[in-house]
Amino acid sequence: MAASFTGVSEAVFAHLPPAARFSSEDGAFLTGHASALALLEDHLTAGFYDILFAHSETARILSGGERSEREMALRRWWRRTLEGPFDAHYWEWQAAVGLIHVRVGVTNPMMIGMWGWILNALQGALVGKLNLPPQDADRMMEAFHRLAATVQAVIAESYLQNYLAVLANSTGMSPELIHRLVAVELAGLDPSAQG
Amino acid sequence: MAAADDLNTILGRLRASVPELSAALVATTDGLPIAHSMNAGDANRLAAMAATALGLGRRICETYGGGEFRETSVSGDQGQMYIYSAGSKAVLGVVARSGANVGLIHLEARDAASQVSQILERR
Repeated sequence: MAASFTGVSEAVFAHLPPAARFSSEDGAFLTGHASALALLEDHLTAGFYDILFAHSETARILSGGERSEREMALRRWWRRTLEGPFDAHYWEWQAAVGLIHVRVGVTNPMMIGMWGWILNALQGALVGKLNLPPQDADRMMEAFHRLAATVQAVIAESYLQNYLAVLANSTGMSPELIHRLVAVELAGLDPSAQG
Repeated sequence: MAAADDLNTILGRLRASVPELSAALVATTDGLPIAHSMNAGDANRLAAMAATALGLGRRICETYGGGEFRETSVSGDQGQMYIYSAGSKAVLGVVARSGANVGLIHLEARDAASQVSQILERR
């Protein structure tokens, strides 16, 4: 019923231009600095969930259970990311997050917005907390930006593909038919006439 | 004779048998029009809609234990559309003006759907 996580992650990698996609060099650079980056876990986690709990739309999704339990989702991801490897299993896991987001009501704007926050927080912390030389901090931010783009792409694509897969399964319409309905409907649409 | 010619012949006979029909078309289950005979309208859109109704009808039949889907219809105050399963690969859709002879439509269209099925299953 769900979209193939392998298929989604492979399609995203095929679509992303290599220069924009997280690379093995990026992975090696991050895991090479894992011990230093691990020190940022509490800082990132606290700031991340402070924001989510302070906003009614995101707080509603997190209601139920202790905050420490909720925080484990980010902590697990951060630890696994610093540990590597960035193999098929890692990207399939990110694709699975897209399906989970559909189930629990995490929207893509929420996900993308919080990725922006993570990148800003990292940028400040690399110099402010880890005292990295500017050259290393710049290289690390490059890697994090490509990681962000790739993970966001996988999660958002998985969200869409799983949404379509469930719709196709529940209505009996093949994904090809759904694509055709979209194409037929949009063929006569004038975007400039949309409010 | 190519399958498309055969299908067009079937649609022509169907419309000749039921003059109240304003459109008849055969589409794949993915919504692609294969053959159509229409007074007006967008065959691409009608084909996609017919395939949608077919898919939904099949799923409804499965859900309530109705067996294999055969046909469904949509009625407005000025006309009706009847949608028939035409084998595993296609759907037959016909549009009729309000007040048309429904019994005759079903009689002719069910036979046409069966012929369409046979033609497409041979391919």
